Amino acid sequence: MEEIIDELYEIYKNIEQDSELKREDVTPELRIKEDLGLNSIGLLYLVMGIEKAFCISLKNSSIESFITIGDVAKYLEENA
Amino acid sequence: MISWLMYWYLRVSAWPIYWLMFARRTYYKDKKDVNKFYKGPAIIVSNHKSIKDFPLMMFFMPFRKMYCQMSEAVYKKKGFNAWIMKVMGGIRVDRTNSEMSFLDKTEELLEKGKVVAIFPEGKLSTNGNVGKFGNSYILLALRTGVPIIPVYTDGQYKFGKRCHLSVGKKIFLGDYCEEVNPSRETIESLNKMVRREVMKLGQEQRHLINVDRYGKLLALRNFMKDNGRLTVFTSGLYFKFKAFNVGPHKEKLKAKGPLLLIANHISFIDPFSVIATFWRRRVYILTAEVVFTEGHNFRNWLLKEIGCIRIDRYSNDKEAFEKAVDVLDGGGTLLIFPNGRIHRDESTDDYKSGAALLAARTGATVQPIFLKNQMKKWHKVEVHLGTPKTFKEYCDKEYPSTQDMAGFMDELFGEINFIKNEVENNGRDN
Repeated sequence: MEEIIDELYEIYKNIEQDSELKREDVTPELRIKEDLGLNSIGLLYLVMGIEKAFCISLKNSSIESFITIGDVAKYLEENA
Repeated sequence: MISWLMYWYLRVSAWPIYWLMFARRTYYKDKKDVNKFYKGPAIIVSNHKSIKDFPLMMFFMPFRKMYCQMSEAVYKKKGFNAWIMKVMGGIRVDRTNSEMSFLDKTEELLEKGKVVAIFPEGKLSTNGNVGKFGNSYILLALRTGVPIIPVYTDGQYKFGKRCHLSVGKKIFLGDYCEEVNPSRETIESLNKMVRREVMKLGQEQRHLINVDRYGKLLALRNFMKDNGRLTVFTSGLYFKFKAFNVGPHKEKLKAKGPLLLIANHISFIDPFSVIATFWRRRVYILTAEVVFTEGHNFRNWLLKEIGCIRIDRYSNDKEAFEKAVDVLDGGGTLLIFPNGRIHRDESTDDYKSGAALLAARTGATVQPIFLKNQMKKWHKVEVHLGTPKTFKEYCDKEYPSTQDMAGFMDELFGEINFIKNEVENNGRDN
């Protein structure tokens, strides 16, 4: 799971290059909308980055179920 | 002999049904490497979306018998079903116990120069993605030295729809691993490599389908859209659409390749104005969910057929965004109103950056448009075109940030505001 979170952090840093969030601060409990400070376009961009990096296709219903980074990492662990 | 005769009789008689039902379109990564006349042994590794995957695969090499590992759910132990599955090339795999005789049977067939199809997921995919692969085919490929041919199917097995098959290049595992008894980690990494190849084929297939769907001029499926274009064009007699600043020899209207049109939104006839202006192209429109009213199935169907893509403005509607990407990826034209709602006062302040994300993702040319509010009978509806831009000209980074996209949107709407000021102050020439 840590490797997946590393990769998610890399994708996030590409999207929000001005963000001061460090890798140590990214825990599975980190909330995607509230803590990462992404607007709707940012979220869409993050999802596209995840799809490209993990060669996976995410549906609206799957995306809506992602509250924390841990939810995303767990989904990717099972499906990617 | 009887089995052989039965197999070819069933195959020939099933061909018309297969042709009608699947209408298969095959994409080859390299036709010189693997094509339908492929000779020699091979392991075909494919994703698994339906029990119809193997019947589809069977006809991919029309002059060869293809064998296939089938689960105990499909290939029963006894009776007529068992005989037919055996005749059709089935190799029974019992997933409920650890019996491995299927591996020996498969190895025997590969050593005889046969082609065997394997679905390493071991079960049907439930979420549309390629599931985890079992490892046994890796051991077979290493032991026999036979190439693996990765294949991806979109599982579109409905009458009236086309199913698509993507065939990759041969993979010889001997090129990656020379060990006689590779470790578990080596086998896992080879397995991951083959799985990635299948997944990449899926992504490439999507692009090829988009080019077929949105880039081609003549197709019966575009009848409604072209009819829609004709209707809108003739409605110009009443609304009198007039385009300004179309460039020398109308070059902006004759632009080729993926084109993203962004405009301010002043009235319900805006889509008509833009479609009538760009009548040379088939325009798809991102349409708010409120236009697609529940219960009006015929109207909703009609809107979809003429090129409206429903988007839910209040949620992260990734599926709608994907359809928009598909249109541009295939070389089509997409119209977006970044304001998201009608502003009759021609306001251009409130806009979202989705268009910038689309432009960055697809490399489409963005054509800013200013629509002048002329809701009076017999007055021209003015369509003022700005300078086309691409995201690459604005930002050359491999990974543009959300700030870069917001900046690009500011530039696009800066252009629209510039046109607006020019029109209000000076009027504009054609």
